[in-house]
Amino acid sequence: MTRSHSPEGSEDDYNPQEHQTCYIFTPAGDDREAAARPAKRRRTAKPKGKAAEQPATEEPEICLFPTLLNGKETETAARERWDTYNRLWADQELRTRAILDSFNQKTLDDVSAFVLSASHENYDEKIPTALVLTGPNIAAHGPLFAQFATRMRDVDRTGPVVLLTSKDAANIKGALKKLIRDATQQDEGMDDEDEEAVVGRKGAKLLNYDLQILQNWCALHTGQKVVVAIQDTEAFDSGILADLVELFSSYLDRIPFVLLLGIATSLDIFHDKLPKATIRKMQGKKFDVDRAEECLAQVFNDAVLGNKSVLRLGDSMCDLLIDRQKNHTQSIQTFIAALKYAYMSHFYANPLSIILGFVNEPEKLVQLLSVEHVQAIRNLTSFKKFIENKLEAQETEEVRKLLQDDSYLRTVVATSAVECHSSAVGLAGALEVLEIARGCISSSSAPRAPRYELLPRVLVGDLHVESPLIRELLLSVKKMNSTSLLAMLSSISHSALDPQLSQLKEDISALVSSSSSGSALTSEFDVATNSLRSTAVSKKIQLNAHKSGLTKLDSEYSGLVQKVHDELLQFFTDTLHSPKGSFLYEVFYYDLQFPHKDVFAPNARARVERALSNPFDYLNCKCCQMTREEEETRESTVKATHPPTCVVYKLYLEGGALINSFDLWSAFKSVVTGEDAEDGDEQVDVDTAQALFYRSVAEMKFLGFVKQTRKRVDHLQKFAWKGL
Amino acid sequence: MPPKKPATATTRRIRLPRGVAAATAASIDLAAPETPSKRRVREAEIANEASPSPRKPILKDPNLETPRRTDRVRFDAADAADAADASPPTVIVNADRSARRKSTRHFVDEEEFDEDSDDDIVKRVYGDEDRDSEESGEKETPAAAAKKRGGKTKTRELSPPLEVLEGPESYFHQNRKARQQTSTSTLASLKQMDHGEYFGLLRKHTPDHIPSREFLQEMHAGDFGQWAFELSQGFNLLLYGYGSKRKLLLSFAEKIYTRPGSVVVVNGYLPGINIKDVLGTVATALLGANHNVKLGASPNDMLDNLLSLLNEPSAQKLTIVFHNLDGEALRQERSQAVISRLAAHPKISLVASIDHIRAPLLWDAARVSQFNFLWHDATTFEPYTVEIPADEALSLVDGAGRAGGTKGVKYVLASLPSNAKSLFRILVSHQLQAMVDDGDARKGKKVDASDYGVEYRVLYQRAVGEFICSNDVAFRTLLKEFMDHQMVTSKKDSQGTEILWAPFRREDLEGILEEIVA
Repeated sequence: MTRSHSPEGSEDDYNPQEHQTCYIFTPAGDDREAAARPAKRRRTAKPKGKAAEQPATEEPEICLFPTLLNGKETETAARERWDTYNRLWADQELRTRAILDSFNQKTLDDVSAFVLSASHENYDEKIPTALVLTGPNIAAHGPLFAQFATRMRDVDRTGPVVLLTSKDAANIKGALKKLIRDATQQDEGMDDEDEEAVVGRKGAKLLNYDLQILQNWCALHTGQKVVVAIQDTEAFDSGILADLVELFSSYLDRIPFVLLLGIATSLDIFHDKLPKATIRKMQGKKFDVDRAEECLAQVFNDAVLGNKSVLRLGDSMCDLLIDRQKNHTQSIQTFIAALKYAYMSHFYANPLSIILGFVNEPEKLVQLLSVEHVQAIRNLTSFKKFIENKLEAQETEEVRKLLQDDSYLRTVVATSAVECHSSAVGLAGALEVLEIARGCISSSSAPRAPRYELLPRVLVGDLHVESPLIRELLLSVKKMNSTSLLAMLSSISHSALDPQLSQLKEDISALVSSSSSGSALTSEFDVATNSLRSTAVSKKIQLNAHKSGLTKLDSEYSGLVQKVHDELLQFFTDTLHSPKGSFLYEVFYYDLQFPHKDVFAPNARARVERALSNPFDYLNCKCCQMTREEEETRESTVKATHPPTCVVYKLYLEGGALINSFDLWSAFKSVVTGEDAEDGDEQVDVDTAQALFYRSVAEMKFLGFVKQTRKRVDHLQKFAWKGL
Repeated sequence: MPPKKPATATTRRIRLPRGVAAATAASIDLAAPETPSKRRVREAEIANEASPSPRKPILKDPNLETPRRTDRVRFDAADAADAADASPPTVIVNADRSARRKSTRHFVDEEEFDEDSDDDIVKRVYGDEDRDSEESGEKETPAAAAKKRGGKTKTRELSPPLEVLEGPESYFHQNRKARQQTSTSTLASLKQMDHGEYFGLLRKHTPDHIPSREFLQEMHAGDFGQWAFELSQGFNLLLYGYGSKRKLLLSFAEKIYTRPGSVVVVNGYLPGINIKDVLGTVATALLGANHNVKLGASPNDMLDNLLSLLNEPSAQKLTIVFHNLDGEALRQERSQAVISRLAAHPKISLVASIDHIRAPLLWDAARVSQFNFLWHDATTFEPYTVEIPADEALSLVDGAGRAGGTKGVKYVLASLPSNAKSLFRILVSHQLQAMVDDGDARKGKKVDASDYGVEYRVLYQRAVGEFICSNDVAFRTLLKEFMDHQMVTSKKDSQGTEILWAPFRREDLEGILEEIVA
């Protein structure tokens, strides 16, 4: 059945595996052996195999990285790269997970407190209901509800938690079945009394969707609440949901139900969905889940700007990831996946990524770098820039050494790596200060810019000490009165700037407390508070008046403000510059967009269309190469040498919304059999052409381009327009 | 009136970018129609004697479309002949318009044209009689008309270009309300082809681009290391691109195979695939061939139990190689939900392929994050020999309803009682007899199969004579079975007698007859 394309032509073998829905794979060579082996032997062999492989999983994994640098990279270097990757990513993942776990913590605490306190007595005999506003990002709902469940089940021990999704509840019977089964089986094994619960009072066996079972179970486990968590309330059939609530409410005095409803839209829509009689049976409390954007900011700040992370993202990567996040309401998990992929591809393909592992041990790094590594370093663009800068500075001796002396370069690399890392940390600190300080200034004109937006701007060189954003900030700092300045200083006290500013902060607070009035001290630079006068003279007068209005304390305070200002200015000058030009930038900043775009946001359909319309792009054969005119339009014309499906596709593009199969066939025939081709090289006879035509049209249908239509006899309907 | 007609025809024809023939016809026709141009010349003279018809060269220009354009130019000119003189307003391509508006515009233009022609007819009827009144009327009507059409005349476009349009433009162009013109020819004249012939021909045919395809395979195979690494990091893989990815996936499976039961292959393209089979096989791979674990009846139960099996620390990692995750039998939400939940388990790796261009629509955001796919372009250009059943390929072109060629006929006959078979035998032998009698004389001429048909009455008589049926109702019932399978067709001839025949070629009929008699 298979028509293999190997020239040997082993066509006739019918492979039953092709027509078996699923099977356990055995490689070709292994085939006979596996078939011959009796099933029993396999069973006895199994536990042995397990025992043998058990310790194997404990062992460090096999290095999956290839040797790079044209295979000249040493095994140890590759191994080292592998270990570095695993170490760095494991660290990063731990931190990220901690952030994520802590992030829902508040909601979790609130909800679990609600569940703990909830009982129908103090809810006017209504079902205690937690309405969790989860937001539109449905990908995050599953993990969140799983967190709820584990928390209540394992930490709070309030009783069974049943997660119901709309898929489980096609009808009320199914929903109840799942509810009862999940509720009663959750702590199976702890007691064997469960059997009793299934039997009704009269001794008859109860049906598995009878809530009586659950009631009996509750009688055995007093003090336990049954939490029913409905993840996608909107997707539920409102009738079923209403019936469920009705049932819960009638059993409420015997089974202590607590409802947990996840709402992705809004409370209003939820209200409209259910009948009023149902809503009256519940008494709700609303819980807001933290916004995804803040979560993203935290993860980003830790992963890309954290002190502990070594690999950072370049500007285009940041933009790409953040845009994707914003425009497609992607979940935080996708961001983390993208981040992980950045780590993966950096370490997989960049031999120099090994440097990242030895930022703290420069000596070891010097030993590890091989000749090839050094050569690769000399090919870096940042190295070239580094050399050019040195040349400009007339340090020719140095340049000579860098280019010729491998061991010297090694040491330079080691120190540069440390420098690069510390400057990145410095930059991260600067961004942190910048973000916090800007948040403290109550100017409405500047929109809040989170760090993940600031970073790419710095990297591109858009944002530096001279840029308006910083100047504005510094001016505003000058104008601050003591209260707001103190607030700002305390909020940035945990940042990188602390050592310089703590002293100043103390001075200011001492000054404030010494002032008798207790009111805030104003800065002499703050002129704007007074009403504006238009002429220059009046301004001057006003300024003098203002200055004279300042107390001695005020002017002392102004001096301190000036110092704060100077500190900040100095700080930003030191730290806030793009690292793009610095040596080893490529190693510390991952900035390749294309792998990510390909892997996470592919344009699958366009690829298929391209393959079909310009097969040369993939096949790269001489016969299908485009002529010069075609290349200009990027559109190749139909050729007999094209694969048959491509020919059909090209003809299909020319057709209208409905295509006559016979016309398509005649066109196909004339192309493939070469009726209008001059050269008589191998052509296809009509019968073969027909078979090829059948196959090609079937392929087109398989790919979703056409479908048979009943509108007209022997017509195909077009389903896809190229480039749409 | 009569000279108007060719002009209309041209306009209509040029709107369909159907081929060079139409285009050349149009360009020839363009200069031809006389009446409107003559009239225009005359009226232009009436309106403004100083400008001696500046439109004439425009009309001759083969790039321009149809005379009707100039019709409207005339109205413009009547008001502002000077302006028209300076810049002929005909050739404005509204490149800045949206595709939607362009195509609507196109449609409106066409309708408007009909109005115009009506106008023209009226004018022509009355025109010569009272030129004076027309002259005075001309001053009002064109003004109103110009107002009415205002910007429209300016934003006129050329007819759609003859080359292949792309993207939205082609979509809107091809989905206009205007009737699509396709020929009425059918595939009836095509040679019938059965499975054996189909495969035989394809086998004999040397496939194109063997080295290139091998190169593509090798290129993808070069990525295997990376793919394995990506799988090991908890991602799942999704391969897309044109061409069958079966071979590629299987060779990848060989690469990642470590021990018996480490890889499960699923053929999602099979129409009979069932999600329960998949879960069952995965369980078998985990537990060994004859395990006694009961997984449950519904897919969800099975999945829950399977996941709890996987959660056991002793459970080993498992890779599922999934051909065609977008297979037709797996497109329901339910199946995809089960697969995605299974794939989300850390011990399960999924390597899947998709082919349908709209396959990504199967998954919503939650599903996508569960799948955690990395996409890879794996264009192979291999034909989908295994994925597409031959029946599909043959039925697609051979008319969907017919019982799949002669082979299908055999199946149908095998399931029928003997008297039904006899009836068909009578029909076929009668038809063959007619063919043989006639055959040699009319060789080469194309003959409709119905010419050899049997009259309803005759067939009935013979059937009764052979004790196949005893009354007309029974006869009808037997016939209906054949008609449903399109093994018998009927029509009324010119005298109103009903003719029945089996719509097959002579060789096929011979084969069928042999089958029945045997």
